[in-house]
Formats: sequence, structure tokens, C-alpha cells
Amino acid sequence: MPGPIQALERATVILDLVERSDRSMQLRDIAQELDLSKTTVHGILQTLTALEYLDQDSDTGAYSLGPRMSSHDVVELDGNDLRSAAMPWADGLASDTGFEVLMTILHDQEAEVVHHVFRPDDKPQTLRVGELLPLHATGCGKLIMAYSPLRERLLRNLPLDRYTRRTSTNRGRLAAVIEQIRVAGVATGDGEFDPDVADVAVAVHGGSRSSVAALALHGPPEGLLAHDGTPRPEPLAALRLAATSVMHALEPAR
Amino acid sequence: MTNQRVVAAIDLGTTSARCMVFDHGGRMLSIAQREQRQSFPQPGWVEQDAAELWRNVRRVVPEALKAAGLDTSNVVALGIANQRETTVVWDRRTGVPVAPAITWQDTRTGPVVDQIEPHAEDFRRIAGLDPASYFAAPRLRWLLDNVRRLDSRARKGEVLFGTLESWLIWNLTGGPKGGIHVTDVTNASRTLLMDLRTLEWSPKLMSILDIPEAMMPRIVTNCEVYADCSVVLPGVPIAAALGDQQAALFGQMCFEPSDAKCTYGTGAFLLMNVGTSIVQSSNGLLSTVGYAAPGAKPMYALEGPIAVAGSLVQWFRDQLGVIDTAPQIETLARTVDDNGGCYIVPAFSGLLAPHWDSAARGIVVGLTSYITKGHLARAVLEATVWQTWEVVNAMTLESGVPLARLAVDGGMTSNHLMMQYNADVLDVPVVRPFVSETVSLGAAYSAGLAVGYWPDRAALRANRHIAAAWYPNMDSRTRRREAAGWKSAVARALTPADVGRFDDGA
Repeated sequence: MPGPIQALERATVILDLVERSDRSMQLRDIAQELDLSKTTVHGILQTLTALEYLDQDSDTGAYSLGPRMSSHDVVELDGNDLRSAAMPWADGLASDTGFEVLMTILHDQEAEVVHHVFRPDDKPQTLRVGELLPLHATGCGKLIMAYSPLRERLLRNLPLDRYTRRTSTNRGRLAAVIEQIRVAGVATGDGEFDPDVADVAVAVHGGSRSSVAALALHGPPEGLLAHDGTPRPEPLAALRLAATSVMHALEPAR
Repeated sequence: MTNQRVVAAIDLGTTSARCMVFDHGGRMLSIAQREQRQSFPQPGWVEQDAAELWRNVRRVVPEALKAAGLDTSNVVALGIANQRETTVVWDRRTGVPVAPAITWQDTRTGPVVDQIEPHAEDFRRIAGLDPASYFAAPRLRWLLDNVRRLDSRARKGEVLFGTLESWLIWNLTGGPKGGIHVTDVTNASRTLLMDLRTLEWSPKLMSILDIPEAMMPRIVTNCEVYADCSVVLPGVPIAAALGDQQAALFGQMCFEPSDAKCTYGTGAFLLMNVGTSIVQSSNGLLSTVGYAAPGAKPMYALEGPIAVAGSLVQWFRDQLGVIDTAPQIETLARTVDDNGGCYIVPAFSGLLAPHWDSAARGIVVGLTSYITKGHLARAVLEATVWQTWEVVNAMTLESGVPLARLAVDGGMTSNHLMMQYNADVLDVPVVRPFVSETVSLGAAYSAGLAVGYWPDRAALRANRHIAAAWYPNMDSRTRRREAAGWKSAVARALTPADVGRFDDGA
């Protein structure tokens, strides 16, 4: 009977170690912890990173779990379940605020619209369900990127096309914005995709092991954003309340 | 907040009693509901406890007001909507029902219907309906025949008959202590006993079924103050009562001839306003009263009930276990581009409009090794759309006016694929309004109009906004091909004319 394959054994020990750690780990720490040479550990880390089981931070060089590990147990929210649970609350949100309501989930490298409620003014409008929006140029795109387990990879690989003169194509700035969104729990887009449209988005979490959807108000920038670009408090409060209701509505389904 | 004026609506549904509170903008401020039990004592029998229903109403009304931060003093009017055709008889002195309520799904009255079949033409001419176990009067006859001494007590005026709005209004206005005994014209039009022209009980039809007049409620319009509540909402005028589907027609603001709505729930109910003249259907639709207000000509409607709509998706989920949740039928359907030639006719207990074949049974056609569960999911969703199409076609034939657009409501309107297919097949825009609770909204609107809370229907229209719209996007060749596929599937589900064909070889 052949013995265990040493490299595989070491790789799983490294993955366990990184998974248990509450922050990303340097090569030095990992080697020390396992009592192995840095050269040996480095080779394994490179392979795991290339296979996306680990992620390496481009600035600090530290390692954290990669998309194939972190997305392993993630239950993908079903867009149709979301729409069904969200419908009464999204209707109420549009009625109360007077803005269009969009709900998006991550689809490859774009934000897919899974629910859309018209602006309640009866002007002709087209249903946008199924439309794909750029992640870096809309609030509802930035928000799902910020809460995605794939965000590091997206930040690295996402093509940053320019749509308007307000579109930011600076990768470093985008990374900073994403961190801010994770702190504040709200994302905005200000004429970065369509020059006349702003959006404000908050997260709808479908449970601890689940991906995240964005619930967003779309409308004219002056209606949604203050002069300094931050969301106006009234629509934001209504948006947060609706998002909480949708999360409650999703619970019995899980 | 404390001097805010609102309208309350009670909806007595099949599975729950609910109360909703609406403001002047037609926005729902709060909702409270209680499950309503159904019992199934024998195959084909479906009963409810009318006393439990009344208890539930006494609970949900204060709960809804409390949830909105309001009390009775804020309520300017109460409107009622109810499941139609459900039949109650109660003791006028004690207020106790003499038997369980027989609900609209109950089919025990087949023998009564057979007995009155020779008079079918009279029912058709006067009530606008063919005798069927779907309506209330055969249930009343069954109770008179089967509850001991009930017939003689009814003749002495000791017991009262009503559909659920009658029962509720009688109790709200004091019950044995002065309760008023009325039924609204839309509910009355579903008994088989009302003359569709005079909107009065027909002596001829009453005598065919031998129903004692003393037990019958007075027929009233849908928009007037019947009386003030003496309990639950003391002093609040009861100002509207409508059958649930007629309430939804009003809540969807189908005020003009050829306006139509379809409510997609467990089943689906398509109603079209046909104006102030009765349209007698020869294509399998029901003639019914849509809405009547004092001093105006009544508005009539054609109705096409579809028995199985959302319940087909539930069957796919619970009985076949193909999907985890009902909305995921759409996720599954989107794994393929079309139905792959597969059609499902969900005739689980026969087909209602426009076929009315109680012996038809469900069928799946077009199965090949190519068919995946994705194709079946498509066929499930398309089945409801094609049934809608059949009813719409019958309505166009009857009314002579093609449908301009279809207003939709109900839980299935969250299914984007199905609603788009609906627009594609019907070849008209399909629109969803903001308030999906159109049944309660319709009852609230009618009550608010009766007391002047809203000045007129134009004011209601200002409250109505479109939340979503689907536009047709299917070429006519595809539509014709799919229609042919559906029609051939239905033909195979219907009772075969030559049933005896297989007897020889067996």
C-alpha cells in the first residue's frame, strides 16, 4: 500500500491553518507554525494560489483563503426566490420614495438585475429584469462586489471600462471604495454609468452562508445624493427598512 | 397620527380571514390575518366553521388597527370582500349556525344539480348561469333536505340563509339583537337564484329549488351604507360588500367595458367588464354582476374561472419534488429555451372555463428522451398562460371587443418568465399595479366612495400606478404553432367521445 502523498498532506495542513486564522498570514508565520522551510512552504503556497485555493494580497504578500475555498459552502441566492420575497417590500419602497427600485445579484463579472419596480409616475418605462450592469460604475454593482467572497479576484481582474466622465477606472481607488462600503454598509453610484442617474444600494443577506444581493434606489442624482455625494438620509432610511423586511421574508425559505 | 382617517377592509378568504387598513393614497398601512381551518369530512366535501370565521374577524380587525397605531375613531368606513358561493344557515334567535358552512370547493350537490337539470334553460335565461355544484343555491337545498327540521323551521322564518358577507354583516350589526340581513348583488349573482336583469330574487328559480323566501337576505348594492357596526368597530358604517373576484376587478380599476383583470393564485380568475348590458355566454363563460352602485346601471362582467394555476407549481414542488421553492420553477425553466414540444394540461379535477368538463383528467404530451425537467418547468408555466388565452379568446368572441391589455395581480405575478409569456401569447401588454392586494383594496375603495372619503372614481385612478409591464415579443408563427400544440393537448385531456372504444379488447 502506498503511503500518503506528502505534498498533498502539507497543502491541506496549510489550508486548515489559514482557514483557522482570523487574518491573512505571511509566508514566515506559516513556515514557523508548521516547522518547515520557507522554500518548501513557498512552493506549496504558490501552487494553492494559482489554483485559487488561496489568495495573496498584492501589497502585503499575505495569504488568505481563495475563492475556491471561501465560496465552497456559499449558498447562491436564487434571483427568483429573491424577487418573490422582495416584491411587496420593493413595491412599498418605490411608492414611498418615488424612485425606481432595482435588485441585483452577482453574475460572473457583472451585476444582474433580478427585480425591477417602476417609478410610480406612470411614464413609459421598460422592465429591466435580466439586464447586466457594470460592477465598478454602479452603487448596486459596487455593493455586491464588496460583499462577494470573490472580491479580491474581481478587484484584480475586473475590466474597468469608462462609461461617463465620472467613471473611475483607478483600481486602487476602487479597492479603497470597496473597503469603505464594507464599513458603511451602503454603496452609491453617481452618474458613473448613465450620466443622469445615481443609485444608492444596501445589502440583502440571505443567511450566514449565503451570497449577498443589492437592493437599490435609482433616480436623478440630486434626489438621491447630498452635495457631498453621500446618500440623502430619508431615502436611505426607507431603503434600509425595506432591506431588513426582505431579509425577514427570505428566512422561512431557508 | 391620531386624527388620521382611514378605510378598513375585511377579506374572508378560503384559507384566512384578513383585515387591512388603507390611507387616502390607497396605500396599505397594516395587515393582520388568521388562518381559517377547512375540514374535509368526506371525499368532495369541504366545510368551514362559520363561528370560527366570526371569531377570527373579531381578532384581526383590532390587530390591524393596532399595527397601524390607530383605533376605531380613525376608521371612516368598512368594506367587505369574501370567498363567493360558500353557504351558511343560522338560527336568527341564537345566532348559531345550524350546520358547518359548505364552501365553494365542495362538490356534494351533484344530485341536486341533476334534479334541476330539466330547468337548465330557465336558470340560464334568468340567472345567466348553467346549474352547477359550484353555486350556492344547490348547497342551500342540500342543507334544507339533510339538516333535521330545517325546511319547516325555514318556512316559519326561524333560520336565515346567507353567503359569508351576509353572515358577517348580520353579526357586525348586532346578530340576534337587531342584526341586518342583506347580501350584496355580486354574491347574490352566484347563488343561481337572482334575476340578472332585475337584481332581485327570481320567484321562478326560487320555486324550482323550493327555497322559502323567509330565509333570504335582502339584495343590496356594492356601494352604500348598509348600517353601522354595533360591535368590533362600533359606530363605523359598513359601506361596501363584494365577492372577492369582483372586488379585485374594482381594485384593479376595470371601470370601462373591455377592461379585464386576472388574479393568479391557487387558481386563476379572469373577469372582464362588459358594460351595462348582459352578455349571455355561449362559449363557456359565466355572466355575472361586476359592480352595482345606487342610482346607476349595474356593470356586468364575464368571468372565466381556471381551477389550477399556482397549484400546478405547488404540485411540481411538493408531489414531484423537482424544485425546492415555488419561485425556483422559473430558475429551472430558464435552463432551456422552449418547451421542447412538451405540454401539460392540469385537469386535476376536470377543467373549468371554457371547457366545463368535470371528467377531464390531467395529461402530459410530447414526451421524448430529449425532454428535461427544464422543459417540464416551462410547460407548467405555459399551461396557466394558455388557459388564460383560452378564456381571453372566449371573451373576445362574446364581447366583440378585443382585449387592449390585461391587468394582473396575485402571487404568480412575481414570475417574470410567465408574465412575459402571457404578454407574448395574448399579444397585448400585461400590467401589474403597485398594490397587489387588489381584493381588499377594491372593498376599501368601494366603501370609501360610499361615504365620500374619495369623491369619485377619477380620484381613485390618481392613486393607481404601474409597478411593472410586459410587452408582447413573439412572432405570430411561433404563437400559432404553440397554440396548435396546446389545443391538441387539451383535446386529449377532455372526455373522449368514444369511451367504449377499448372495451372490446379488454
